[in-house]
Amino acid sequence: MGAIALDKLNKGDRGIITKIDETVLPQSPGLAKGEIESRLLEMGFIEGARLTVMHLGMINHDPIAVRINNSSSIIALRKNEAGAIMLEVA
Amino acid sequence: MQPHSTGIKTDKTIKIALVGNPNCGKTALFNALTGSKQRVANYAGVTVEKKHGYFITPKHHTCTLIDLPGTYSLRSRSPDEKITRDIIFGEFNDEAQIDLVLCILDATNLSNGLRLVLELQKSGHPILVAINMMDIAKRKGYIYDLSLLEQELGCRVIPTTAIKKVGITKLVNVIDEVMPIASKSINSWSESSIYETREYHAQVAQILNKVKLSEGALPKVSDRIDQVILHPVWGILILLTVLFLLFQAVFTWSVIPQNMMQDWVAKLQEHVVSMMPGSLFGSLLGNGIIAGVGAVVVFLPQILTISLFIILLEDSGYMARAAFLMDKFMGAAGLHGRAFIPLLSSFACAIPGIMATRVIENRRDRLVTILISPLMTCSARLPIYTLLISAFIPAKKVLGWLSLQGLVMFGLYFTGIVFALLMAFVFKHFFFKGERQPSILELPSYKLPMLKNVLIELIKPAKSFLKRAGTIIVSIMIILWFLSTFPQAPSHATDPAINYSFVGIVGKFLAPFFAPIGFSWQIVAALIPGMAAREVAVSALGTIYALSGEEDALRQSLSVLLQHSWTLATALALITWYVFAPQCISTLAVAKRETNSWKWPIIMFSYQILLAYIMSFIVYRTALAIL
Repeated sequence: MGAIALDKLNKGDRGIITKIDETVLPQSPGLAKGEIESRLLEMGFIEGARLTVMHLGMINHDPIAVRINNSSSIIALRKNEAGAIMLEVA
Repeated sequence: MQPHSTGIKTDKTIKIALVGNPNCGKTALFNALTGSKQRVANYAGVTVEKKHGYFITPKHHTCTLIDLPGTYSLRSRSPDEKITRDIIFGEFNDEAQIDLVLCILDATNLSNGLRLVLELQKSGHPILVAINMMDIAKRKGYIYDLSLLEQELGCRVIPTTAIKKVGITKLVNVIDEVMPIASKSINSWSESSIYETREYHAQVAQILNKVKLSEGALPKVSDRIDQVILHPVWGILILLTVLFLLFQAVFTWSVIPQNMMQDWVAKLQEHVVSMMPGSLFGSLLGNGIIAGVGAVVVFLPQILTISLFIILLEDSGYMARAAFLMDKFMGAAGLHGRAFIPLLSSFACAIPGIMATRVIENRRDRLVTILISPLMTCSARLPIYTLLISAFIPAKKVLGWLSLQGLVMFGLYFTGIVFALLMAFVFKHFFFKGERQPSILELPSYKLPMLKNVLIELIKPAKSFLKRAGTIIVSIMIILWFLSTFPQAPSHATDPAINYSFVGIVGKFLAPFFAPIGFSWQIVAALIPGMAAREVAVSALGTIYALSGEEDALRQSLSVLLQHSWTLATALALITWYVFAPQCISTLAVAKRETNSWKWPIIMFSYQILLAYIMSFIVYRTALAIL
């Protein structure tokens, strides 16, 4: 199975991040280039990390809450930004 | 110079910056180190509070601890976030150079914290690392080789459990040890690119590979709680219950002590004025100063209640979950998920509501929430709504069972909400055009709030409200007293004294501007003292129409009088005015304190008055045309 974006996953899905690339997202006016990618990296998303989809928002599965590796906390992000994260689903 | 001095710190205070990720126990460590020796002020030009604390080490070093906002990196996207960076690099004007950086990490989530340590090391400052929440980490089975971590990082690492004050003595002793030998090296920091951030990730992975001897277990209990709390159905039901409790607490329970305080203030005021009959000083003391101080302290029960809720929700970890659940709803209006707490509190009163916007870290989201919070129908509008509705809206039933008066009241609440969301949308696009910020949120594992910490945090907002907003409110109350007292009525006066005062003069002067929306000069004049608090408008109308008596009796006779002197169109226009108008000085004062600038309260005042005028005009003209 090939790489799939985080915003397409279901609750309970697991995978390994293969690529974080904000250029696949529609242009966000007012945001500096690399801003979304930087934010994701700062919050702990990185190529090679294991992700588990823990919870999905009620409406349109947005936002998405994931666990990175074995972290004690969970990170929630909106579908829009989740589109920048590509995973190899286990 | 002390003889043993190496030319570095001895008598001088040591300035320590406290830095860390959000949710790593930074506030608990700050409280554990400084206890009650804390001071809160504002930084110039930003909404972030300047939190300083003091402590003395066993070797008599006086330390100033500067609590900086929780952050994941030194990059900054707004003036508020720039504070951390500016203070660390000594580029902040009202702050001296710092001597030491104390970086606090969550032991159960080291990687995010370690990247911050690596970035901070580029600043050239000596660094101390506190690995916090060690108790939880141990219980979960995390084992670290901390001396190897010290070697890897090249700085001292101290395990702590700040919330239980474990490791604090050790931490302070280490400060004593390192301060005489610590020296600053060259600052080589620059904003990291996406490549450098990945580089930090790789470095941290390498370090953790060596020092993490055992991986901890997942927070099972926390995960299980989340299955319910974040459940699409149960989660929403629980959230609604929490919100209902919050609403009850602010709207109903805290009103009990509030009414008691209001009664005391009124009695004291009456007493003082009657003790010195006819004396100007008695009037100033009673109707100016005591009324002013009273107007400030009556907000305390509500502020304490809402603050208690917020602290418990934050400390337990529920706040982040609530924001997760609300994100889609609030996001639709361009608001942050956390904005629901301030907006909900604003139904009781915009003052605690605006103070509650502190839960929103993002500056733009916070400012928009502050700006729209006065549109939420606060409880102080109820007396004037009740008066006007009972006087002008017939007590009819609609569809056989709905009370028309109740329906109108509901409509007023509803209009406020709709316009708040509408204005949020407008502000987002007008002031913060295109700044659509990605919203990434950490949901920390659940923790039990500690009583002592809750108490320390509880008095902070109360203190800052009394000290800083209080002074503005009291001064304005005294100015209002002055305006409604001078010039004094001539001895042969037949009208009530207030009609001869500045309030009366200004009311008559402004009357032509308000004629298009159907306001008489008496209404305009009553609006001025009504600025002190919306509910004052009722008694002000009474004063101007020369009525006196107990409040309920006054309302009765006023209601009859108004029916005869106003048209329905005028009444509807005035009700509409109260939905939108900036009829509350205290709200503006608090907005000034919380945003730390006059710009935002001025914008708030202007848009509200504009909106109020336009809407009242539409309502008045429509009513005239169809009635």
